[in-house]
This record gives sequence, C-alpha cells and structure tokens, in this order.
Amino acid sequence: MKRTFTYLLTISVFLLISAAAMAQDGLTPYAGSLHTYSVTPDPDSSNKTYLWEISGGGTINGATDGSSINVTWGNTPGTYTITFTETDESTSCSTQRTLDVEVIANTFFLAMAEDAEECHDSTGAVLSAAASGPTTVYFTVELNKDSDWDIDSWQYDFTVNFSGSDYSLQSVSVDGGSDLGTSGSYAGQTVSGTSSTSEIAVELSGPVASGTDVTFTISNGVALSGTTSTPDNGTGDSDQVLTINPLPNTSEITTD
Amino acid sequence: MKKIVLLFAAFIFAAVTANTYAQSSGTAPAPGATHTYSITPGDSNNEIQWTVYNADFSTEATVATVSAPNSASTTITWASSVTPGDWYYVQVVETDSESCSNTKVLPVQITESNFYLELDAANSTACYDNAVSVSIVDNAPVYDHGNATLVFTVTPENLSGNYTGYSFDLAIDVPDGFDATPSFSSNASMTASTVTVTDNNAVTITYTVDNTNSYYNDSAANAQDYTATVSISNGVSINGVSENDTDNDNSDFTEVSRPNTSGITTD
Repeated sequence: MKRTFTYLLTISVFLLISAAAMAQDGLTPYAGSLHTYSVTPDPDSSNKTYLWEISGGGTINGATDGSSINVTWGNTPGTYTITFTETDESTSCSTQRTLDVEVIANTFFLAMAEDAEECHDSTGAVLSAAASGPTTVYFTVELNKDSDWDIDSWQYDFTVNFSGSDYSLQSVSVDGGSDLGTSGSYAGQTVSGTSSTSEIAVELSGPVASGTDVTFTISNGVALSGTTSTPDNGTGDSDQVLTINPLPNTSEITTD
Repeated sequence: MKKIVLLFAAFIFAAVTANTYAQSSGTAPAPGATHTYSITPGDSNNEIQWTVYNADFSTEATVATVSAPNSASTTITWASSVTPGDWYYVQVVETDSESCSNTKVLPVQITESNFYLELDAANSTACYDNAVSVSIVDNAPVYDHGNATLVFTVTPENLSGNYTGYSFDLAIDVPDGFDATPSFSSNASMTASTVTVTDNNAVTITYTVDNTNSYYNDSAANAQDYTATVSISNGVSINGVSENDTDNDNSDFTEVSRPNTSGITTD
C-alpha cells in the first residue's frame, strides 16, 4: 500500500485567540489574567491527538489535549510561546502551530475613595435628650483600567466593620439594590463594565452623641470580558474609613 | 339628655383650654415679661444660636427680644403686645467645629399673669397729730391744724420667686393747701412718682400731710376735715410682668378730722 504522508500544508489549522481587541487580549494579556486559546483542528479527527504547551510565564488550567485551553498568566511580564501540536497517530505526522504571547503589566485595579468624616444624619433635627437614630454612610469603589480596554463587568467582595459597641448595623446595599443583610461580609458584587464606580450604602443606628469609625474593605477584585478574567493588581487602596462624628451633647432648654 | 351631656362636655373642654391666669414663667410668660433660658452645651467652645419662632415654627418672631443670641444662657423679653394664649417656640442650635449640630426647642405659651398689688390704708379715719396751734394776728385768732400722719401699705401677690423686686407709680389726692410728703419702709424708695421696691415684700408708705391753710373763728367747724386718697398704677415686677388689677384694689383713702367744734359764741 502506497504510504501517504500528510504534510503540514494539507492540514488546516489556525489558532483562535480570545476576544477583547483593546488594551489587553490573548496576544498581549495582562499579568495574572485568564485567557482562552483555541484551534480548529483537521476536520478528519480520526487518529488525531492534540497537545498544548507553553514555554513559561503561565499555567494551562486543566486538560492540554483538547482543541482549546485556558491559560492563567503569571505576574512576570515577558514574551512566551504557546505551541499546539496535532498528530496523526496512524502516520506519526504532525502539525505544529505556535503563538508568541507578550504578557504585559496589569494596569487594572480597584481602589476605595478617600477617607472622610460626616455628622450623624440627625444633625439639624430637633432631638430629645439621649437621642438615638439611623445614619447612613456611602462608600465608593473606583474602577481603574486602560480607557481603551472595554470590559463586560467587574466584581469585588467586601466587608464592613465599625468601632465601639454603641452602634449596630441595620442594612447594606450596593448601587441602590436590595438589602444584603447585616452579616458584615459580602461576596461577588457585580458592576457593569461601563460604570467606573460602585456605591455602597451602609446604614447604622446609634446614639447621636457618640461617633464611630466605619471601615469598608474590598478584596478579590476582578475584571471580566467574555471568557477573560483579570484580577485586581492590588495597587489600589483597599480600605476606606468614614467617620461618623457625634452631635453636640446639648442639654434640654431650662428656664425660670 | 344627650344634648346636655354634649354641652357639659363642651363647657369643660372650653374651661380647660381657655387661657388661665398664672405666675409668669419661661414656658408661660406674661406679656412684657423677661425670662432666662439656658442650656448646658456639649462643649463650651461650640457655637450657639438662639431663635424664637411663631406658632408656625417657620417665621421668626418679632415680639421676642433675645439679649444674648450666641450664649449658653440668655434672657428673652416678650413684648407687651403679645396675646395670651398664643404659642411660640424657643429654639437653640449648638454647632461644633465639624459643623455637626444639635437642636433643642422649648414650646412657650403666652399666659396672663396673676401678679397684682393691693393698696390698703392702715386706717379709714385718722386724727391730726397734735392739738390746734393758735396765734393772734391783728387781734384775731388764727388756727393752724398742723400735720396728720397717714399710713398705707402696698402688698404684692404672686410674684415669681426667681426675680426680686417690683415698682409702681404712687399718687395722693388731698385738697388745696395740703402738702403731702411720703416716706417708705427700708425696702423702697421713690424717684419722681415711681416707687421701686428691692424685694418681694410689702411696702409701708407713711405720708406726713401738712394742712397749711389758716382757719379763723368764722371758718366752718369742719373746714379742717379732709380725705386723703392714695392710688397706685403701672405696677410691674422686676422682670417686666405687669400687675393684673382684676380686683380693682389700687386705691384707698383715709378721712382726717378733728372734733367739729364751733367758734365760741357769747351774748
């Protein structure tokens, strides 16, 4: 039987890279980001095996013998090579495709707004002695990224803590949404990619003559675009402290 | 029966809500009264602002004068023109360096005062102090009746224990030729026609009335008799509470006389 050799040119293979054609993409991914790389193998899949390899700088998540892989790039910028090999096991002929990927510094980060002070919300109201009541403070998470990089959404976790025992947590809501409860720890808050800030309303209740410091801390920030996810590079300030200042402890009016 | 019950209930309601007389106080001041209003600030360095509002708690009252609007303690003088029964609100706002503030409000209802002064003559009748003095002028006797000492008392009622002193205007009505000179108990003095009392006690007024007229044998037997009528007005406490003269007891009199002996007749 005449042996038929299959050459590289008879196999149509091309690599697909993930979306996001702006600041970062599969060719120039941010350090720490997750991207998908794919090929369209030979339509005749009989006796074919596939192998993905990378020269360094990242980790292939899961199987390396499919038509696509997910790669989580590491934190070291540089140029790395992805190699895909399709082998016809019946003939031992193979085709390789390579893709040079330049891992770039991740410029995405979330940051809390500046610390601030404000009066208890009852300021200006007529109050009785030892008055107590609700007061709401508003925290802001700010998105920082390359302006020409479009994303679908961004996410973060957060915690709320406050000093002293005079106050109690009443409600927490994100961007005008429903009450998330008073656990003090909240995960997976999702914000549209077109919004550059996220506002969190934290309502407490306590005596107007006492103050408290409310600390808001974010974590696990991530930007999402299609199948790509980019973690927060951690350079932003993850804490914001809003101080609720007490009202003057004025006595009742006395007269003769 | 039902109609009577409803009328009775209406009467009781009206009686309860009607403005009653009371001692002037900071929460129930009389027209013209001055009272002290105070707070203990949360911090003595904070800013303080006193404001008085009308019953709508929106319009600043023009009838209340605040002496120290930025102090922890102030007096407020209520105009004499305020109407008993009207409500006002005394507000104070304390603001700290962080612009945080606390607000206190005291409701005030103008109330007619039950303070009054009562004038009483010690005696309704009195004699001259001494015997008639006789002198001979142009071979005819001239009679000089001299002085009569008349005592009156002014007694205050329902003055506030938080304020000391009161005043009133004093006048005496005697016939022509009679000179009346008052002296007072140690707690009072007079300037022009106004008597000022330094405490909340009664005042004793002693008039020395000198009959400077001359009388002769042909004078009427009772020519020397007269009535001294003393009256007071414009009674007011030290903090501006006007007397409420509902009992109409601001005037009294003493009748002075001596036996109406006729002249000596002969045959």
